[in-house]
Amino acid sequence: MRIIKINIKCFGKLKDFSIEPTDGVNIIYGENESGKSTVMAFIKAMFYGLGTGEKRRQYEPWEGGQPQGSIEFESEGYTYLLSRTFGPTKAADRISLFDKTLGENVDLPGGMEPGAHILGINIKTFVNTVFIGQAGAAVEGENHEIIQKLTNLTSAGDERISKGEVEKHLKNGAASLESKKSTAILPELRKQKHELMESRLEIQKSLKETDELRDVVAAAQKKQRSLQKEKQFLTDTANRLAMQVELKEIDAIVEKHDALEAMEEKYGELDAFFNGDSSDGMSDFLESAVKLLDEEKSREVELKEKKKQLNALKKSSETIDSTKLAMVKVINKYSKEIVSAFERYDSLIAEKSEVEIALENSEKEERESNDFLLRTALCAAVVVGTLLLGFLFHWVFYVLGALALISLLAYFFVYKKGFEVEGVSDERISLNNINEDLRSLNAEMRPIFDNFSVRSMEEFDREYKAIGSVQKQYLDYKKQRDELKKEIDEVSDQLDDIRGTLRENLAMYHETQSNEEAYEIISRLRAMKQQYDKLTAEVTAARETYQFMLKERDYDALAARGQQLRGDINLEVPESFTAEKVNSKLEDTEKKLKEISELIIRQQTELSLKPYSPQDMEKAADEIKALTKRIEHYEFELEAINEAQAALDEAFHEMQLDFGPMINYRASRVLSGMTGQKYSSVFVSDKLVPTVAESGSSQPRSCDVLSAGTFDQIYLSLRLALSGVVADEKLPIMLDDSFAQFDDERMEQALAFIRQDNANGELGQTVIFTCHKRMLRAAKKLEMTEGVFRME
Amino acid sequence: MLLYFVVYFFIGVKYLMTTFNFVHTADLHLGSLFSSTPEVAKERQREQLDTLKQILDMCTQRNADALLIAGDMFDSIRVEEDLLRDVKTLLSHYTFRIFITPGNHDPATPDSCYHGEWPENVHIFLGGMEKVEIPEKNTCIWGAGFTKSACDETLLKNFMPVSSRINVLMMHGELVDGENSDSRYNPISREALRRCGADYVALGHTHQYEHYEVGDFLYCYCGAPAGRGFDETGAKGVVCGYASKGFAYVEFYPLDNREYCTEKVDVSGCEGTEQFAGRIVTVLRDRHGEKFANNLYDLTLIGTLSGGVVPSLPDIVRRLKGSVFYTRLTDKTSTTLDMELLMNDSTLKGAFVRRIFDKMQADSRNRDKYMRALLYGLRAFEGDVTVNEDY
Repeated sequence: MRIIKINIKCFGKLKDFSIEPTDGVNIIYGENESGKSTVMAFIKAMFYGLGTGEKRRQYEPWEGGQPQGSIEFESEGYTYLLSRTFGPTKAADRISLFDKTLGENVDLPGGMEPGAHILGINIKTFVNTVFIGQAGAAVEGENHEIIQKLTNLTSAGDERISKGEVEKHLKNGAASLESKKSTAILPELRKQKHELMESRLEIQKSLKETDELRDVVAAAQKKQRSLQKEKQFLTDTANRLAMQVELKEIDAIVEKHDALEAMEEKYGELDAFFNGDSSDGMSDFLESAVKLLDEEKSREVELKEKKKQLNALKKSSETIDSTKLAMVKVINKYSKEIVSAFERYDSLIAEKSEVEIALENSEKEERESNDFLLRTALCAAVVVGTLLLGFLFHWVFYVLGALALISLLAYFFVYKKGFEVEGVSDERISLNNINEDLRSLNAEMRPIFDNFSVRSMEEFDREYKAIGSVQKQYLDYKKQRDELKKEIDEVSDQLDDIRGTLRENLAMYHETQSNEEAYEIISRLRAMKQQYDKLTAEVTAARETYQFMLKERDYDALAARGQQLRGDINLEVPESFTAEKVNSKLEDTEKKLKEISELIIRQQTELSLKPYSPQDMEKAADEIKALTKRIEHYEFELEAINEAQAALDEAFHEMQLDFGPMINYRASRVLSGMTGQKYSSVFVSDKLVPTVAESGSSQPRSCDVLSAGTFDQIYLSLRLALSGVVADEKLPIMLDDSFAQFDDERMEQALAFIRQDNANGELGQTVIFTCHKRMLRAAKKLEMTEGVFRME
Repeated sequence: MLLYFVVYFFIGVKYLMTTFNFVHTADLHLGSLFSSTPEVAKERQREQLDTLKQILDMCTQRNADALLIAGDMFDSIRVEEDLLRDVKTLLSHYTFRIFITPGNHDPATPDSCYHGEWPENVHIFLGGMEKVEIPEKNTCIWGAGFTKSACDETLLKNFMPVSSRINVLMMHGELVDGENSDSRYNPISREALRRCGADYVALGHTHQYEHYEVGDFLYCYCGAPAGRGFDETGAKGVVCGYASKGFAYVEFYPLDNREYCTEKVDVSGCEGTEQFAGRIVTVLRDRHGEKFANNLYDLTLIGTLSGGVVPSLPDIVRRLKGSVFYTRLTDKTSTTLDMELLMNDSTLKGAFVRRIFDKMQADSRNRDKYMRALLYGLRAFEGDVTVNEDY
């Protein structure tokens, strides 16, 4: 490719500027701010556009209007005219590419830039290839920047492309996703996912427990409903039973009421009979009659009793000894004799008794005297014995003997009367006399004794007493009998009086022919009265009972209630259902119901306190799903970045193998030519360090120690070497003050080499932009007459 | 005789002419967490009550005899006290009958809010099959509710339609083929349903409207009345209709609710946030009309962008906030790459592109990965590599 003509209508500061460079080496001279850079920018903009924003505004014409112009160029045998008007946006640009060779417009596909379409390279390649500046211009004195550029040129083919930088960007991108840094996205997302999954497990567990608790509550509620039904049934039953009880009570009251009414009806009749207006004192009569009858009855009983006693008395009198009773007459016959005899006998007996007592005392004294003598003799023997023992053995016995003697003497003086001896007693003589008198009395009473079959007064006395006893018994009987008879008579009289009175009183109401008839009538009346009294008592009791049952309630209301209850009790209650049983069961059921209700409340409270709901589970699942999606997204992106990294490594390796040596060869040739064979080669080591070798020296030198001018020579060598390998056809080279760091000699050498290389076809069209007049001098020195332009 | 005939004829005609008007809804999921769109969760929860009110007003406007809510009225067993109070108050303002069957999300567990006091016009089917008669409409409403989060056995048991009445059955459950099923959500055999003898079956569980007709017999899922996430896209609404003896008719009525939309937007050529946002608004307006701003969008940005242009999703979302209720973005754009130019590049970049291209050809199944690697590699040549997150 070569540029035939540049025609700038207006572009930045340039207006109506035109230039037609030659095919060889051109030099465009202009002082600073003369527009050299604008021309280069125009060339770039014509082929690849102005970009957006500030860049576009930078080249707005100073005198207004839209930037516009044209370039005529030749590429691969075809001549094109490229015209372009730049709008405010890229889309507003108007581009025209006319193929002068074929005489037709060229369509640019899909907004493709003309440079890319015709030359087959993108803008960066174009800029890197066509425009060559100076290595040290950007950062003065910073060798490492220059070295980096050189490294990039030889390792990546572009001074602005650093494998290390690209790699760093990719690694940073990857590290933002996966690294140990706290800002890395994937570990944080995985951590969040893990936490969410843990949380989901916890929720799942809690929900399971909640469901189980719900089952328990549901079962409890079922039981509660069952109990409520049971309670309802029992309550109904209890009510029915209570109604039955009430009905029963009401029925009893009604029954009592009816019975009372019947009783009172009957009672009323009797009451009217006895107490009514027409009763004519019947009641009083009957009352007195009854009393009389009672009196009569008691008298009858009394009479009967007394007769019975009389009979009993008579019967008991039969036991009285009639023989002895007959002897009473005999006694009465001899009463004087008997009385006299008994007087004598009693006197004798009394006297005899006295004598016998005296005799007995006398005999007692005699016996006591005999005993004293015996004891005295015994004591005397002891005294003697003691004295003998004292004589024989020890003087102590004398003492004892003296004591015994003193005792004996004392005893003797106390009982010395025992020694008084008396002769035969008078008592015994008197006794014999008395006995004689008694015998004579018995003899005198013999004739009387014969009547009584006794022999002595003693026997007669016993017989006489026995007869006396029988006589007394008889007299008692007689007395009692007489008294009883008298009493019977009195009672009989009383009975007669009573009966007479009764009949007399009854005659007021009923004439009777006999007492029996009167008695019968009175008995009937009495029975009636008894019935009336009984009925009165019964009615009174019944009234009390009724009132007690009624309990101050209204009977009619109760009766109505009874009818209502009878209608309400629609179901029979089995007999086995007693109120007690039902109430007990009801109480039990209510207790169970209360317990289960409390349990349900507790469980429901527990349920309400459960922290999670299925919604939480769904939320967790949604969040996990969203996180999983994000993780997958980032993992995919990470994989892509890693893949890019791998591809970059492989590409770099490929460059090292193929591109590097080729660039080294070409650059070495250019450098050798430009430096007049001072340097023979330039290359980049495996460690990406650019080195140069001087001619004749096999020892490469690191670029670190080179001067700025040498750097630029190497840089220019590399750039020129690269320009030949970028595109299929040779592109024009625009050198923007690339020799600024060169001294005059190096500049001449370089210019001469470029001119030579161009002439040899190694380099394409070359345009050198410079603000240095020494370049013009050098050109003149090299006799370059064509292709030198001055910008005003 | 003729008189009898005439009388019976008119009684028969009246019997056949009696219809039961209803509105059928389900799966309101009141109290949802809206965890997929947390930024607008509170607002969406409030809007759920608006949706319920919309349905209730519709019942009034249509002079419906009853509102049938076939399960999952609430999103959870546990319902916030405020929400429960608001729902009860709302329901109590209407005079028509409201029938509710608890679903798998809000089963009538012992601690369920359904055991509490509800307005008089509300009947809740708390367990096994139960019947409520509406004599004036000659109708029996049959229903059975979940008592646990799962229900392995069908609740269709014990359904014994009254031959002289219109029988409307409502349930929450899953339609299955055959008697045996692994479904844990009240498996309802289609065959058993066809034979059950109901005049209409109002189903809930599936969030999409599904309508089945077998002769004159009709059963359908009304779908959710409003979407809750990007897996419930499209228009949502309720079913309105009537049932008479041996016949039923229903129609789906979309509600004026926000829609969840999952869409792709081509943003080729866009460069700055303004351009991206502008393009998105334009595309959405074209597709949804002026109501586009009310919807919730899960958008995937596609197309090719100029080299170096990376859409800043957070910035775009922020910019869209004033124009669209809710937007979520995923970047699937690609960079305009002239592979030929890149392949011919003599530098390290060209070598890198060629390497990637070789790998892509050798392992075409992972083309996406290598394209992404190419993108990241080229970005690395320009500067920092940042990984964009969906936003």
